[in-house]
Amino acid sequence: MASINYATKEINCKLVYYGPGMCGKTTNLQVIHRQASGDVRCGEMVSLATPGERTLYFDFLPMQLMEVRGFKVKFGLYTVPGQVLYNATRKLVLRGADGIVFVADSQWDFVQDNLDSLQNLRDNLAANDIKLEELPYVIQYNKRDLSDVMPVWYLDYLLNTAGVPAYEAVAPKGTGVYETLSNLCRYVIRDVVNRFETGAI
Amino acid sequence: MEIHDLILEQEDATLLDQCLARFIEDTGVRLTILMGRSGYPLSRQGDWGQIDIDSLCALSVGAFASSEALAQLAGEETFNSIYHQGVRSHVYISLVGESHLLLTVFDYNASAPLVRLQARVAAETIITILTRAYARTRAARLAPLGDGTHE
Repeated sequence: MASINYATKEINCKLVYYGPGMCGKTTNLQVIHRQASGDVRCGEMVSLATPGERTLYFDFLPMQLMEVRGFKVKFGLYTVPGQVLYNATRKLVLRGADGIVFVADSQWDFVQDNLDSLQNLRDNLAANDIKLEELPYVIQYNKRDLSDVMPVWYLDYLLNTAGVPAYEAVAPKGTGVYETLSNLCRYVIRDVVNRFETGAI
Repeated sequence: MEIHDLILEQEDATLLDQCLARFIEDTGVRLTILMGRSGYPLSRQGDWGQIDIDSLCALSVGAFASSEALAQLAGEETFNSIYHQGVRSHVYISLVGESHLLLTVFDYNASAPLVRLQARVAAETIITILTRAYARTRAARLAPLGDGTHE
Protein backbone atom coordinates (compact mmCIF):
# COMPACT_ATOMS: atom_id res chain seq x y z
CA MET A 1 0.00 0.00 0.00
CA ALA A 2 0.97 3.64 -0.17
CA SER A 3 3.85 5.16 1.69
CA ILE A 4 4.14 8.82 2.58
CA ASN A 5 7.63 10.03 3.35
CA TYR A 6 7.74 13.39 5.10
CA ALA A 7 11.53 13.49 4.89
CA THR A 8 11.70 13.26 1.10
CA LYS A 9 8.21 14.74 0.60
CA GLU A 10 7.17 11.77 -1.53
CA ILE A 11 4.03 9.69 -1.86
CA ASN A 12 4.65 6.25 -3.40
CA CYS A 13 1.84 4.18 -4.92
CA LYS A 14 1.63 0.99 -6.92
CA LEU A 15 -0.66 0.56 -9.93
CA VAL A 16 -1.24 -2.80 -11.59
CA TYR A 17 -2.44 -3.45 -15.15
CA TYR A 18 -4.39 -6.71 -15.16
CA GLY A 19 -6.14 -8.60 -17.95
CA PRO A 20 -6.09 -11.63 -20.24
CA GLY A 21 -3.07 -12.56 -22.35
CA MET A 22 -2.32 -10.32 -25.35
CA CYS A 23 -4.92 -7.72 -24.34
CA GLY A 24 -2.39 -4.87 -24.48
CA LYS A 25 -1.17 -4.34 -20.92
CA THR A 26 2.48 -4.08 -21.91
CA THR A 27 1.58 -1.86 -24.86
CA ASN A 28 -0.08 0.58 -22.46
CA LEU A 29 3.16 0.91 -20.49
CA GLN A 30 5.27 1.18 -23.64
CA VAL A 31 3.11 4.04 -24.90
CA ILE A 32 3.22 5.83 -21.55
CA HIS A 33 6.99 5.44 -21.49
CA ARG A 34 7.37 6.68 -25.06
CA GLN A 35 5.03 9.63 -24.83
CA ALA A 36 5.68 10.92 -21.32
CA SER A 37 6.16 14.65 -21.27
CA GLY A 38 5.40 17.78 -19.29
CA ASP A 39 4.27 17.02 -15.76
CA VAL A 40 4.65 13.29 -16.28
CA ARG A 41 8.18 11.94 -15.98
CA CYS A 42 9.03 8.29 -16.49
CA GLY A 43 12.12 6.32 -15.57
CA GLU A 44 13.42 3.29 -17.43
CA MET A 45 10.94 0.56 -18.28
CA VAL A 46 11.88 -2.94 -17.19
CA SER A 47 10.31 -5.91 -19.00
CA LEU A 48 10.81 -9.48 -17.94
CA ALA A 49 9.59 -11.21 -21.08
CA THR A 50 9.94 -14.55 -22.83
CA PRO A 51 11.93 -14.70 -26.10
CA GLY A 52 8.55 -14.33 -27.85
CA GLU A 53 7.98 -11.05 -26.03
CA ARG A 54 5.17 -12.42 -23.86
CA THR A 55 5.38 -11.07 -20.32
CA LEU A 56 7.04 -13.69 -18.15
CA TYR A 57 7.05 -11.99 -14.77
CA PHE A 58 6.09 -8.34 -15.00
CA ASP A 59 6.78 -5.06 -16.72
CA PHE A 60 7.68 -2.14 -14.52
CA LEU A 61 7.64 1.56 -15.25
CA PRO A 62 8.38 4.20 -12.59
CA MET A 63 6.52 7.44 -13.13
CA GLN A 64 6.41 10.76 -11.34
CA LEU A 65 3.52 13.19 -11.53
CA MET A 66 3.09 16.78 -10.55
CA GLU A 67 3.21 17.70 -6.89
CA VAL A 68 0.18 17.34 -4.64
CA ARG A 69 0.20 19.60 -1.60
CA GLY A 70 3.98 19.83 -1.73
CA PHE A 71 4.51 16.08 -2.11
CA LYS A 72 6.01 14.45 -5.20
CA VAL A 73 3.66 11.65 -6.25
CA LYS A 74 5.50 8.61 -7.58
CA PHE A 75 3.74 5.67 -9.17
CA GLY A 76 5.19 2.25 -9.87
CA LEU A 77 3.28 0.86 -12.87
CA TYR A 78 3.27 -2.94 -13.16
CA THR A 79 1.71 -5.38 -15.59
CA VAL A 80 0.98 -8.99 -14.75
CA PRO A 81 1.60 -11.85 -17.17
CA GLY A 82 -1.73 -12.60 -18.80
CA GLN A 83 -1.15 -16.24 -19.65
CA VAL A 84 -3.27 -18.55 -17.53
CA LEU A 85 -0.35 -20.67 -16.30
CA TYR A 86 1.38 -17.74 -14.62
CA ASN A 87 -1.14 -17.25 -11.84
CA ALA A 88 1.42 -17.57 -9.04
CA THR A 89 3.26 -14.62 -10.55
CA ARG A 90 0.10 -12.56 -10.89
CA LYS A 91 -0.59 -13.01 -7.18
CA LEU A 92 2.89 -11.75 -6.32
CA VAL A 93 2.66 -8.69 -8.55
CA LEU A 94 -0.77 -7.79 -7.13
CA ARG A 95 0.57 -7.53 -3.59
CA GLY A 96 0.36 -4.04 -2.20
CA ALA A 97 -1.46 -2.57 -5.21
CA ASP A 98 -3.05 0.83 -4.61
CA GLY A 99 -5.02 0.86 -7.86
CA ILE A 100 -5.88 -1.47 -10.73
CA VAL A 101 -6.59 -1.13 -14.45
CA PHE A 102 -8.40 -4.09 -15.92
CA VAL A 103 -7.52 -4.15 -19.63
CA ALA A 104 -10.16 -6.04 -21.59
CA ASP A 105 -9.81 -7.31 -25.14
CA SER A 106 -12.84 -5.96 -27.02
CA GLN A 107 -12.95 -8.75 -29.62
CA TRP A 108 -15.89 -11.15 -29.59
CA ASP A 109 -13.51 -14.12 -29.46
CA PHE A 110 -12.20 -12.97 -26.08
CA VAL A 111 -15.44 -12.89 -24.09
CA GLN A 112 -14.50 -15.90 -21.99
CA ASP A 113 -10.85 -14.84 -21.60
CA ASN A 114 -12.00 -11.47 -20.22
CA LEU A 115 -14.46 -13.05 -17.81
CA ASP A 116 -11.92 -15.61 -16.63
CA SER A 117 -9.27 -12.96 -16.09
CA LEU A 118 -11.63 -10.69 -14.15
CA GLN A 119 -12.66 -13.59 -11.92
CA ASN A 120 -9.00 -14.49 -11.49
CA LEU A 121 -8.31 -10.91 -10.37
CA ARG A 122 -11.10 -11.13 -7.80
CA ASP A 123 -9.83 -14.51 -6.57
CA ASN A 124 -6.24 -13.34 -6.25
CA LEU A 125 -7.28 -10.23 -4.34
CA ALA A 126 -9.54 -12.31 -2.11
CA ALA A 127 -6.53 -14.45 -1.22
CA ASN A 128 -5.21 -11.28 0.46
CA ASP A 129 -8.63 -10.41 1.94
CA ILE A 130 -9.16 -7.55 -0.49
CA LYS A 131 -12.30 -6.91 -2.52
CA LEU A 132 -11.89 -5.37 -5.95
CA GLU A 133 -14.56 -2.78 -5.14
CA GLU A 134 -12.47 -1.56 -2.20
CA LEU A 135 -9.63 -0.47 -4.48
CA PRO A 136 -9.48 2.42 -6.94
CA TYR A 137 -10.21 0.51 -10.12
CA VAL A 138 -10.94 1.34 -13.76
CA ILE A 139 -11.55 -0.70 -16.90
CA GLN A 140 -10.05 -0.16 -20.32
CA TYR A 141 -11.76 -1.64 -23.40
CA ASN A 142 -8.80 -2.04 -25.71
CA LYS A 143 -8.47 -2.84 -29.43
CA ARG A 144 -11.45 -0.69 -30.38
CA ASP A 145 -10.01 -0.24 -33.89
CA LEU A 146 -10.48 -3.90 -34.83
CA SER A 147 -13.47 -4.94 -36.89
CA ASP A 148 -14.87 -7.75 -34.76
CA VAL A 149 -15.40 -5.98 -31.45
CA MET A 150 -18.21 -6.06 -28.94
CA PRO A 151 -20.24 -2.88 -28.40
CA VAL A 152 -19.34 -0.97 -25.27
CA TRP A 153 -22.77 -1.52 -23.69
CA TYR A 154 -22.22 -5.28 -23.94
CA LEU A 155 -18.70 -5.05 -22.46
CA ASP A 156 -20.18 -2.99 -19.63
CA TYR A 157 -22.85 -5.66 -19.12
CA LEU A 158 -20.23 -8.42 -19.02
CA LEU A 159 -17.38 -6.81 -17.15
CA ASN A 160 -18.52 -3.66 -15.44
CA THR A 161 -21.38 -4.62 -13.18
CA ALA A 162 -20.00 -2.29 -10.51
CA GLY A 163 -20.22 0.67 -12.88
CA VAL A 164 -16.62 1.81 -12.47
CA PRO A 165 -15.15 4.26 -15.00
CA ALA A 166 -14.43 2.52 -18.32
CA TYR A 167 -12.42 3.87 -21.23
CA GLU A 168 -12.18 2.85 -24.88
CA ALA A 169 -8.64 2.49 -26.17
CA VAL A 170 -6.43 1.65 -29.09
CA ALA A 171 -3.25 1.20 -27.11
CA PRO A 172 -0.66 1.05 -29.96
CA LYS A 173 -1.91 4.43 -31.20
CA GLY A 174 -2.03 5.86 -27.70
CA THR A 175 -5.80 6.39 -27.86
CA GLY A 176 -7.32 6.14 -24.39
CA VAL A 177 -4.03 5.18 -22.75
CA TYR A 178 -3.40 8.44 -20.91
CA GLU A 179 -7.09 8.92 -20.18
CA THR A 180 -7.14 5.57 -18.40
CA LEU A 181 -3.93 6.24 -16.51
CA SER A 182 -4.61 9.81 -15.51
CA ASN A 183 -8.08 9.01 -14.19
CA LEU A 184 -6.84 6.04 -12.18
CA CYS A 185 -4.02 8.19 -10.78
CA ARG A 186 -6.59 10.77 -9.72
CA TYR A 187 -8.71 8.14 -7.96
CA VAL A 188 -5.67 6.66 -6.22
CA ILE A 189 -4.42 10.02 -5.00
CA ARG A 190 -7.90 10.91 -3.76
CA ASP A 191 -8.15 7.53 -2.03
CA VAL A 192 -4.76 7.92 -0.32
CA VAL A 193 -5.46 11.48 0.79
CA ASN A 194 -8.90 10.44 2.10
CA ARG A 195 -7.47 7.51 4.01
CA PHE A 196 -4.83 9.65 5.65
CA GLU A 197 -7.09 12.57 6.37
CA THR A 198 -9.85 10.53 7.91
CA GLY A 199 -7.52 8.31 9.87
CA ALA A 200 -9.07 5.29 8.18
CA ILE A 201 -5.78 3.40 8.10
CA MET B 1 1.44 -11.22 4.60
CA GLU B 2 -0.39 -7.90 4.62
CA ILE B 3 1.08 -4.68 3.30
CA HIS B 4 -0.06 -1.56 5.10
CA ASP B 5 0.14 2.16 4.52
CA LEU B 6 3.12 3.85 6.10
CA ILE B 7 3.90 7.42 7.07
CA LEU B 8 7.57 8.07 7.58
CA GLU B 9 8.37 11.15 9.64
CA GLN B 10 11.61 13.10 9.28
CA GLU B 11 12.86 11.57 12.54
CA ASP B 12 12.17 8.02 11.29
CA ALA B 13 13.95 8.75 8.02
CA THR B 14 16.99 10.11 9.83
CA LEU B 15 17.20 7.06 12.10
CA LEU B 16 16.89 4.71 9.12
CA ASP B 17 19.58 6.60 7.22
CA GLN B 18 21.87 6.40 10.26
CA CYS B 19 21.23 2.68 10.62
CA LEU B 20 22.08 2.00 6.98
CA ALA B 21 25.16 4.24 7.16
CA ARG B 22 26.38 2.22 10.16
CA PHE B 23 25.72 -1.00 8.25
CA ILE B 24 27.91 0.22 5.39
CA GLU B 25 30.63 1.33 7.82
CA ASP B 26 30.62 -2.06 9.57
CA THR B 27 30.67 -4.16 6.41
CA GLY B 28 32.26 -2.16 3.57
CA VAL B 29 29.35 -2.81 1.20
CA ARG B 30 28.92 -0.49 -1.75
CA LEU B 31 25.22 0.23 -1.52
CA THR B 32 22.27 -0.66 0.66
CA ILE B 33 18.58 0.12 0.23
CA LEU B 34 15.64 -0.45 2.55
CA MET B 35 12.43 -0.96 0.59
CA GLY B 36 8.79 -1.87 1.08
CA ARG B 37 7.38 -5.07 -0.42
CA SER B 38 5.47 -2.90 -2.88
CA GLY B 39 8.82 -1.92 -4.36
CA TYR B 40 9.32 1.64 -3.14
CA PRO B 41 12.60 2.67 -1.48
CA LEU B 42 12.40 4.03 2.08
CA SER B 43 16.06 4.72 2.73
CA ARG B 44 19.32 4.25 0.88
CA GLN B 45 22.98 4.77 1.59
CA GLY B 46 26.22 4.23 -0.32
CA ASP B 47 27.38 4.71 -3.87
CA TRP B 48 24.67 3.98 -6.44
CA GLY B 49 26.36 5.79 -9.33
CA GLN B 50 24.32 5.16 -12.47
CA ILE B 51 22.16 2.41 -10.96
CA ASP B 52 18.44 2.94 -11.54
CA ILE B 53 17.15 2.67 -7.96
CA ASP B 54 13.46 2.30 -8.92
CA SER B 55 14.19 -0.62 -11.22
CA LEU B 56 16.57 -2.17 -8.70
CA CYS B 57 13.84 -2.09 -6.04
CA ALA B 58 11.10 -3.45 -8.34
CA LEU B 59 13.29 -6.32 -9.48
CA SER B 60 14.49 -7.10 -5.95
CA VAL B 61 10.93 -7.27 -4.66
CA GLY B 62 10.02 -9.50 -7.60
CA ALA B 63 12.99 -11.79 -7.06
CA PHE B 64 12.28 -12.08 -3.37
CA ALA B 65 8.57 -12.73 -3.89
CA SER B 66 9.49 -15.43 -6.37
CA SER B 67 11.89 -17.06 -3.91
CA GLU B 68 9.20 -16.92 -1.24
CA ALA B 69 6.75 -18.75 -3.50
CA LEU B 70 9.48 -21.31 -4.20
CA ALA B 71 9.99 -21.74 -0.46
CA GLN B 72 6.31 -22.46 0.02
CA LEU B 73 6.39 -25.08 -2.73
CA ALA B 74 9.32 -26.64 -0.89
CA GLY B 75 7.39 -26.70 2.37
CA GLU B 76 9.00 -23.64 3.94
CA GLU B 77 7.07 -20.52 4.90
CA THR B 78 9.70 -18.26 3.40
CA PHE B 79 13.41 -17.96 2.74
CA ASN B 80 14.78 -15.18 4.91
CA SER B 81 17.31 -14.07 2.35
CA ILE B 82 18.58 -14.57 -1.18
CA TYR B 83 22.10 -14.18 -2.44
CA HIS B 84 23.19 -13.58 -6.03
CA GLN B 85 26.88 -14.15 -6.59
CA GLY B 86 28.55 -12.41 -9.52
CA VAL B 87 32.13 -12.19 -10.72
CA ARG B 88 32.79 -8.73 -9.27
CA SER B 89 29.54 -7.69 -7.60
CA HIS B 90 27.16 -9.61 -5.42
CA VAL B 91 23.64 -8.90 -4.25
CA TYR B 92 22.20 -9.93 -0.91
CA ILE B 93 18.52 -9.37 -0.13
CA SER B 94 17.16 -10.11 3.32
CA LEU B 95 13.74 -9.91 4.87
CA VAL B 96 13.18 -7.19 7.47
CA GLY B 97 10.11 -8.00 9.53
CA GLU B 98 7.28 -9.14 7.28
CA SER B 99 6.93 -6.33 4.82
CA HIS B 100 10.34 -4.83 4.07
CA LEU B 101 13.54 -5.90 2.38
CA LEU B 102 17.14 -4.83 2.83
CA LEU B 103 19.10 -4.95 -0.41
CA THR B 104 22.88 -4.88 -0.35
CA VAL B 105 25.27 -4.63 -3.29
CA PHE B 106 28.89 -5.40 -2.51
CA ASP B 107 32.20 -6.44 -4.07
CA TYR B 108 35.58 -7.78 -2.89
CA ASN B 109 35.77 -5.09 -0.18
CA ALA B 110 33.15 -6.91 1.89
CA SER B 111 32.74 -10.52 2.97
CA ALA B 112 29.43 -12.31 2.48
CA PRO B 113 29.28 -13.86 6.00
CA LEU B 114 29.86 -10.46 7.59
CA VAL B 115 27.21 -8.89 5.36
CA ARG B 116 24.72 -11.59 6.40
CA LEU B 117 25.52 -11.12 10.10
CA GLN B 118 25.38 -7.33 10.07
CA ALA B 119 22.21 -7.34 7.96
CA ARG B 120 20.52 -9.26 10.77
CA VAL B 121 21.78 -6.71 13.30
CA ALA B 122 20.61 -3.79 11.16
CA ALA B 123 17.22 -5.48 10.65
CA GLU B 124 16.55 -5.45 14.39
CA THR B 125 17.11 -1.69 14.56
CA ILE B 126 15.03 -1.11 11.43
CA ILE B 127 12.14 -3.17 12.80
CA THR B 128 12.11 -1.07 15.96
CA ILE B 129 11.96 2.16 13.94
CA LEU B 130 9.30 0.89 11.53
CA THR B 131 7.14 -0.68 14.23
CA ARG B 132 6.90 2.74 15.83
CA ALA B 133 6.12 4.40 12.48
CA TYR B 134 3.39 1.86 11.63
CA ALA B 135 1.81 2.23 15.08
CA ARG B 136 1.78 6.00 14.68
CA THR B 137 0.35 5.67 11.16
CA ARG B 138 -2.49 3.45 12.38
CA ALA B 139 -3.26 5.42 15.49
CA ALA B 140 -3.09 9.00 14.34
CA ARG B 141 -6.12 10.85 13.13
CA LEU B 142 -4.23 12.91 10.69
CA ALA B 143 -4.43 16.48 9.66
CA PRO B 144 -4.33 17.22 5.91
CA LEU B 145 -1.08 16.34 4.22
CA GLY B 146 1.61 18.96 4.21
CA ASP B 147 0.27 21.34 6.82
CA GLY B 148 2.89 20.22 9.33
CA THR B 149 0.39 19.30 12.03
CA HIS B 150 0.14 15.61 11.29
CA GLU B 151 1.69 14.45 14.57
